[in-house]
Amino acid sequence: MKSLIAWRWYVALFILCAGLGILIGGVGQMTIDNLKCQSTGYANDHFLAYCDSQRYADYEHGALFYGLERSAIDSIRSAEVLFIGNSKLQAAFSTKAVRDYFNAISVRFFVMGFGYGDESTFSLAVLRKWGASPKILVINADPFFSDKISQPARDALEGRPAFLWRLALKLIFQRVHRAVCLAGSYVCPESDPSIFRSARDGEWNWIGPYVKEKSVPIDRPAQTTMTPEEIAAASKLGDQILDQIGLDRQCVVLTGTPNSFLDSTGIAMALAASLRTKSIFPPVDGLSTLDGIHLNLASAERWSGQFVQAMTPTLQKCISPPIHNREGVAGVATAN
Amino acid sequence: MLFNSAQFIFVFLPIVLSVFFLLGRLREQMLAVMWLVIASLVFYSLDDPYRLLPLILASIAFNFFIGRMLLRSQNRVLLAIGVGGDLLLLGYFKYAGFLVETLNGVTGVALQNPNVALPIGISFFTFTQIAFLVDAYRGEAREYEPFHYTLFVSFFPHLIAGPIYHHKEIMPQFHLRENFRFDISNFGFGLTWFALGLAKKMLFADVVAQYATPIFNAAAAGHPLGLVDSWIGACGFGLQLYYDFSGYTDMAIGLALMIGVRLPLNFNSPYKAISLIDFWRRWHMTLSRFLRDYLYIPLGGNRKGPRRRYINLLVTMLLGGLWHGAAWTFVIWGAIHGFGLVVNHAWNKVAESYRLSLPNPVAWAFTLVFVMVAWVPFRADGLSATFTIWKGMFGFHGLVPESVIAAQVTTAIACIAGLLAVALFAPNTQQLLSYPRVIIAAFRQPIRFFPSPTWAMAAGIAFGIAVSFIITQRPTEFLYFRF
Repeated sequence: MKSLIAWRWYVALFILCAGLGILIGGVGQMTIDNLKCQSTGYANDHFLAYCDSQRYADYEHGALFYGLERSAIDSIRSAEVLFIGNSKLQAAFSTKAVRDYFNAISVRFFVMGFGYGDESTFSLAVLRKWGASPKILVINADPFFSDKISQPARDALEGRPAFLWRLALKLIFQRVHRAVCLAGSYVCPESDPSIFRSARDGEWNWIGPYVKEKSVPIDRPAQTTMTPEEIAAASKLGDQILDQIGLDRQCVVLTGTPNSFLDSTGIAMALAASLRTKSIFPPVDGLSTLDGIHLNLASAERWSGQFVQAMTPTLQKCISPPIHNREGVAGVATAN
Repeated sequence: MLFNSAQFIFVFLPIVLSVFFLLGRLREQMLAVMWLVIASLVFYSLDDPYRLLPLILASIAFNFFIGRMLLRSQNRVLLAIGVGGDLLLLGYFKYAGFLVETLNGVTGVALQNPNVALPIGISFFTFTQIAFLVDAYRGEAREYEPFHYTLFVSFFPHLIAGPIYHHKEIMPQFHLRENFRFDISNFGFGLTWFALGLAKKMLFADVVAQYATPIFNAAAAGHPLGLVDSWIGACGFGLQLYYDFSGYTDMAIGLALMIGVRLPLNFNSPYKAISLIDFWRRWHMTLSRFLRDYLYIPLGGNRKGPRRRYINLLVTMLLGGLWHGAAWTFVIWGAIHGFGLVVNHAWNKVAESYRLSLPNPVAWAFTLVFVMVAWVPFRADGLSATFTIWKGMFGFHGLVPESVIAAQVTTAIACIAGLLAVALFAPNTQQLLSYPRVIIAAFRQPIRFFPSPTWAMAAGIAFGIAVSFIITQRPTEFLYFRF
């Protein structure tokens, strides 16, 4: 009898410790495998959205879909202005100009673009899941309205146990990584490029941790565009999606971030006309990109600064209480 | 299905055990046996059911009926038909391609290679059944129920890579009433064995493989290897194979223990051996036992003088090498060990006559180096790769010409040193867990292992860490699955 009780305790303790071992092993392995990720961007409310290492790679798709970054989800839910699109949108609107502008008028915003060229399917899944109800939607429509879905987005939507387990480990890893690199910076080589994302407004911190600021001038008109049939298909899908969202079309702003390859402006302009939405294309000269596709930081600051200024009438129309009545507003918006 | 897969640990095993003990509780012993048979066949054939299931069922049916006839009339022709049939099956699936290629190479003809894929575990279940037929012929077996016999052959813990057990030590255990009732001590003890085996595989074997595999791949690609790389490759593989296979065996023993069945041991710290003869008493012990009882002794063993004994040893080891795989590299490996054993026996005789003896550390070092050098053809992809590594090991390519594993050399050496130290200085699993050496006399004895909290924590955490590796990585096959 005594032996039976001893064995029962033994098996119970074994199972308990096995659970602990799974956690220790998972986090330990994740830490060893990804210690090279940059750790300099954790400051304030930023999380490690992506690290260019085999075992970490993308985190933000799963994190935002499954609500692992609670404050980011709160920000998405409460955002009055929501930016959606791909990495070009992230590059263009992850700027001080955007942050300063909205902070000055006390309007909550969130830049919710995704890497890997993701388009409407995943962004809308996140919006729906968290019941986001923005007053204004800014879309980088080149064309955005498509069924295209990246592998990380597919993994997140499928939510297989192995994916969810890795996602949870990535969440815990960030805490360990930050603590380890803070305590002993010599153990962190900081060699794997990484992208950090603000949980407060979704902006990427990537110039520095991921790429160096470069200047590839946009000195010729973009070559690639879409056929009328492709535009019509995107427009049809866009119509359905915008109907589902149920936002006044005058509070939906389409744009196309400038680049050297795709005629984003032309595509967005055609879609805006077809979908009867607002569109904004700030006429800024001498823009440069990092790689021909994503605006570099200097150009993004200039371009997005002009963009948000041009948004002011839309803000006044779509947001209540009106922005000029908000506490702490310095008249930035109304002065323009 | 792999023991080290989430599918096996979290789905297959809990379902199999639950249903088995439920049937046992309902006193449906025959149904419980049938359930284990079904589970074992699913375990075996899940990846390729249309090919594997008919194959194993045909093999079991053939041997069962021949065995039954042999038990009734000990007919030599019938035995020859039975063993011949088994060897034909093994020969077709395992050696047809090798034979055709060798014939083509020697005679210059261009016979078409049948390219038959090797069914997993065929070498193991064929040998298990040959032993049964021989014992039936010798009158040393009993007539078994068809389902019990099928379970004896297909019992999932041992089916794919052994241990190669004997019907006398297993069959009685399938009839023990207490084995059909859930026993927490059996389960906990089995879980501990399984945990240690899984940890050996995931945390030792697969880790050291990261250093050994690129070196053997480089040799296969014709890359000349330096002294350091070559020794890292050979020793790394030697340790990988030991932890991989002994880990698998520990897991098999653990799984069988969960349902009260005790399997024979397969390893006894082989790298502690102080002679090659000693090594073969410690390495893959159930294969050595099979080769001794069903090949070496029938060939005459040591009963017909020293010269015949040496020939028998050489033949046994050559065939033992060939059993591992249809390639000349395995023949070379078997020949090296056969030759080594002959020299070892001859030396023993000389040493006995002249009262000579090597100090144990020297004998141990000599044995270890010999075994590691001999592992090279066992692992290498062909003769050319074998000689590339051997040349490297003996300094023909210099000390460190452009290391294949570059920055990882220091880590690899540390890893190999650590794992070798564990193999040499730590007690082995059966010593740690007080497992009987001869199970046939012990399967009714109570477990001698005391379930302490320290053991629960150590084994539990080791199990958990190993499982975390399984979840985040693709599980790797056991090396002996190829044989």
